[in-house]
Amino acid sequence: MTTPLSQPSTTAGSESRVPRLPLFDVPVLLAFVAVLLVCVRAIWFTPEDAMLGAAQKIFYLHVPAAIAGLYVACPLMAIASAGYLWIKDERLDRLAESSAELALLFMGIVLVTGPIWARTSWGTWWVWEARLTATVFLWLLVLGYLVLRGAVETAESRARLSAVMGTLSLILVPFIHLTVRLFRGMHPGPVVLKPEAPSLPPEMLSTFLYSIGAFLFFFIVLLRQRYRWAGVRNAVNAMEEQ
Amino acid sequence: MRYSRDGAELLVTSVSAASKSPSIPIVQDSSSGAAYVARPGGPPDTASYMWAGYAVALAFYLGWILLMARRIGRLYRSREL
Repeated sequence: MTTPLSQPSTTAGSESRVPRLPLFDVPVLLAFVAVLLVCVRAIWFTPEDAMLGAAQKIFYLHVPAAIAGLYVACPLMAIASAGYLWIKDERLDRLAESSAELALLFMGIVLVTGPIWARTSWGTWWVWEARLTATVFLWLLVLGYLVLRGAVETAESRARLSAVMGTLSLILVPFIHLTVRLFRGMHPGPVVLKPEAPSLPPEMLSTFLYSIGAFLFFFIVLLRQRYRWAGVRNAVNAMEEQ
Repeated sequence: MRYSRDGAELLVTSVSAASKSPSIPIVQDSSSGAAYVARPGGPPDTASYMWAGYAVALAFYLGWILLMARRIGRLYRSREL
């Protein structure tokens, strides 16, 4: 049974049962503007690091993407998957699928911007240390989740099998978070969420907090669009099967 | 001004010599007492890496938005046929 979350305005004729889904509505545009403003602030109105220069400003992209992808999208995918296995609600499957795709996007940004920054900070593009390796592994797990969904034809089997895989990803998230404390590696530790005071000057700290807010808002808006599209897609598929 | 570096507190002070040479920021690691003197003239020029990082992130986001636009377009085209 398909239960789309929202039913916005419809058109006449054969499309009357297909809800309209605008790609660029007000929240999407607001989120995009917020992200652009944060990037402008980071690039032109935030001081440079004395040791790393301008490359340190990748921090204002890299960390918010990690927060959205690793700490929000992956747990959401896992919780929605576990919820689906429990109560078999199709909406939870759609939420898990949408979260997985966005986890892939945001974690992909982390895995590309990180090495660019690392080249200037560590003198190398990549090291096989615990946090980086575990993040790559989680990214591959999420990719495998989406590939699995594409390979299974039956909707119910697809939801069930991918839900099992999605639930497993929750094991890796706390492990990745703790790697900087458990293992001695090159990846820096937290600069804000730690017992001591934040190790950022006020100008950098404010930009950092704005960037987290803007990118989390962006993530929520993209998730909403992706979830709504999945609902319309399922409704169209159900109509075509009748 | 203070800057962070791997969780350690760094103290940056600006020193101008009496002979009108450009101020050289001196970076001091207050946790260990060691002093790290930055290069004369300021931090290294890593702006190209910064632009590369921002360009890549923007490409990812725009790519996904384009993908969604194609999906939505295909969905409505399939209903019109």
